[in-house]
Amino acid sequence: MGALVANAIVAGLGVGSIYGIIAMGYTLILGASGVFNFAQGSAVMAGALVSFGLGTQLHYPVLVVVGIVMATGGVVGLVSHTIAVLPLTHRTGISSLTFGTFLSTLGLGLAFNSIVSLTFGDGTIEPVNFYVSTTSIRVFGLDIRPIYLVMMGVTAALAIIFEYISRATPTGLVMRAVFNDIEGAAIAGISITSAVRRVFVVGCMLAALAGFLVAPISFAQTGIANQYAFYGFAAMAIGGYGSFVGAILGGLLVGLVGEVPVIWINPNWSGALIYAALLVILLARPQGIFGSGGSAFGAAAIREV
Amino acid sequence: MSIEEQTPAPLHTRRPPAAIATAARYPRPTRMALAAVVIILAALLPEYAGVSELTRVQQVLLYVMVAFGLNIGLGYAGEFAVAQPVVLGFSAYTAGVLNTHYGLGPWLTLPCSVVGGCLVGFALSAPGFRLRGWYLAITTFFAAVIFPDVVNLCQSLTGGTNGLAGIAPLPGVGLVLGSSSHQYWIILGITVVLLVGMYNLSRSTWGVILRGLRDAPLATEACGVNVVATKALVSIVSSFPVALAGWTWAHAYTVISTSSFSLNIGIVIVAGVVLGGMGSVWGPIIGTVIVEIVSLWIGPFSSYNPLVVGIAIIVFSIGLPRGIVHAWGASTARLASRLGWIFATPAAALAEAVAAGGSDGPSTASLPDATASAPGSDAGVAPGAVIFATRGIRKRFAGISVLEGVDLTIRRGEVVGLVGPNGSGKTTLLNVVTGHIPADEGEVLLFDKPVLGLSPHTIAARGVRRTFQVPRLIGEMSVIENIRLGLLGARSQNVIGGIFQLPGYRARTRAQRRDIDAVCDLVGLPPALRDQRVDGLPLGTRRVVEVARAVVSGPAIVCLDEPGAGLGGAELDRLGQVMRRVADAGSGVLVIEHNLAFVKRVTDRVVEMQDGRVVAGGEPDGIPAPDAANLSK
Repeated sequence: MGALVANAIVAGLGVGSIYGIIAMGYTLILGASGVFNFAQGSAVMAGALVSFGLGTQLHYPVLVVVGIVMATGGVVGLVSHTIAVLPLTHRTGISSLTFGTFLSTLGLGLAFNSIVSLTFGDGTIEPVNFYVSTTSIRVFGLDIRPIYLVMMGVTAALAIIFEYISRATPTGLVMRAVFNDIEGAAIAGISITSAVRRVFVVGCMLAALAGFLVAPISFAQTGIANQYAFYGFAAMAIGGYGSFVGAILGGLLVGLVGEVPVIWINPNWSGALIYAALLVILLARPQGIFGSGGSAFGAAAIREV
Repeated sequence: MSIEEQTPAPLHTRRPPAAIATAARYPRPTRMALAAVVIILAALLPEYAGVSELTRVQQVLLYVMVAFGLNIGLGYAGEFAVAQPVVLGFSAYTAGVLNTHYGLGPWLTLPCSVVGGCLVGFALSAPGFRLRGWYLAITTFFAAVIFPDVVNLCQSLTGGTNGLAGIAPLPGVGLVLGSSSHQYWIILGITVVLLVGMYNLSRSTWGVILRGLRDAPLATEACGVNVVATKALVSIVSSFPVALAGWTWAHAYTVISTSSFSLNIGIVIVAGVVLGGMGSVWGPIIGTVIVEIVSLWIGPFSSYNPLVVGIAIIVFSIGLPRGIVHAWGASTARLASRLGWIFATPAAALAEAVAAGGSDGPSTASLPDATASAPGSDAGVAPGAVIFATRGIRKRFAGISVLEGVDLTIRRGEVVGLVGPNGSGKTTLLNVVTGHIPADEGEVLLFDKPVLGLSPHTIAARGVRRTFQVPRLIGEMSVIENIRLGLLGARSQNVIGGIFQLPGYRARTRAQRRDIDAVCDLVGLPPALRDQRVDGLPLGTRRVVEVARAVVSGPAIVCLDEPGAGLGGAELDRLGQVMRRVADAGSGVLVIEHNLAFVKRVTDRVVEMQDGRVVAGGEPDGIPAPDAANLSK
């Protein structure tokens, strides 16, 4: 029993770090543009499907697959920004950009997922090859599947890279400026449109990478688009909007809530448990556990949440 | 303040677009006749349609009922809660389970299923009391994602993935395949009743409160409306049509399964309501019918269905973000402005009315009795008696002291000016007085009773009303309705009376109208202006409307936050007259203002603040000259 629980905790942390990556993508895009991008779930799905097609079927080397997965995510981000966000920016007659793009990205995600369903098959579920060994490693007396360690390692590395970029590079400075005060950044000569476009590309790249990482466990199927879109949102909202660390910790928490109790109960309850956790935390602390009105990039911007 | 700002363009050269929009609206008898024709045609459908068409129309009607729910919550009240799929499913399963497992007939499942659905809608919208906007939307969407799983998990009750079959048909309908005309008429009847109810609600005083919640939540609270309680009520009222649709759904189809209550129905309903036009009576019907026609044309189970719906959502959310009904209204309004001679109330007449407003000499009208609606007030307060006082108000923000012991008194019938440089704490003081910011120390007395620490809506209901630096009004409503908002916080509004337009409710509405007309006379809003939409009125007139809203309930004191900002000479004069009349009618007026010349002209007494302290407080001419120069920058 103890080993069972310990393994479930490892699995929860592994899958949770995937939710954390998706939540980081949401945080990036929201902070820079105020847009909640529903097509992010499509990028996760795209990552998993590309991994299946190129990695499992065509046996491409892992790094090539990762490269193409990231590129695919970037394209999803570019398309989301160009089709669903740019036409609504600076539009009068809509109550807010957030509201308008809520619908347009929802429609885009729906259309995107159904195009994939039409070509790949709606109910099709294909197993995806593991990108690491499936032989368990013995750590502290526990048999741990290496894939979970990779997931956690990649997430930690991403968090460090993003913190470094945001604190120590000119790109990070631009991003912090846009996060903090979009009008001020525009007056200072930063092109908001191109900054936001880049953020969409990077955010969806993250989502696609998450899809690649989780594909051997989730399998390649279109249903993961919605599931991961919502679990990623739960991670961001629970952790606290506006902070990368909060996003990742929220993701880990969502992972634990989704994976551990299902040792004892029907696994189909995990979605309901995550929803319950989300409700409880949002009612008690609307800004999330680690959110303090926004601390991404060390800035304090929360627009229209 | 520059010279240009002091002398704006003459009023009659401004184009008031609102007049055009109002003129282009079809008159009420025309709209009623159109509605009657549509309903009669729908009722005659079984005469010329086969069973399969009837079944499809019945499906569309059920979706329309669900769309009504979303329209009330999102369209009118601005609450982006998309709990509809879950409410619909919960009500349908409540009816189904109670009927098949416990043998309750349709008449008995009806109340259970409606009450259950409303409670679920309330529970799902509860995060909205603390969350706003899309956060709430995604949280409620999340519930729709997991609902089918949860239902399937409760297999012993719900039949799981096999669905729940053998539910009794609607009362008085035999077991038939597809739709009988009898069943169709029942569903059409329910839809029409809900439509009338929603129409009544939208034009009742509740319609005013809901739009206030959506367009000007702070102002609505400052009118004495309890925002959280109202949101809770909205979540229940907007769940009602959906719950009723769920009950109808279960008994009309006699078989239900979770696939009918997934996220997709939520997306389709959102698409329909937004496409048709949120916050209008016909918008959700038109939008839902269009979406469903497209959907049925492709085939409801076709894999191309989500693709086309998705593309339609993108195209319409970008191309027609305000929906068909509003776009149609705007284009007919443009047409009407080109063919101005066809419609009555041409733009010029409105401009004249705006220009004439306030120049009709002192009014003899009086405010409604202050004691009637300000429960804390003392009936026998003589003019000149102190009705309001602050004692030693202190406030620190993150260690920076903003208010350092402010004492201020206001007497009945007095206009007090509050002046001081930017950052001296004037607006903070106002926000403390109205309950929007808690004070660290001190007390605020209204009729010698402490009000500090009460919620803003309670303080407003006790008789402290305010205006805002930028007028916060409901743009799409008339001057009358905006002023009416000021009356609605004083006592709780009967939502049932509004929906059914009960006699007592109508009598009270007429009484309110008399009060509103009296206030319009008092502040000099001419009758020609009173039925105009406020979003097209000039700034000065909107300020006057806001003042009228603040004084219509006969408050003890009225706080005006920089009412003169952006106004020119004639408008300023009119505002000054309005303030004087309000004070003469029995209220105390506290006005925060930077324009010293204006303050000297219109106030009885000026209080000067500096660095969180009152440094001078005497007659208007008593301010030392250097300070005056400093202030009038």
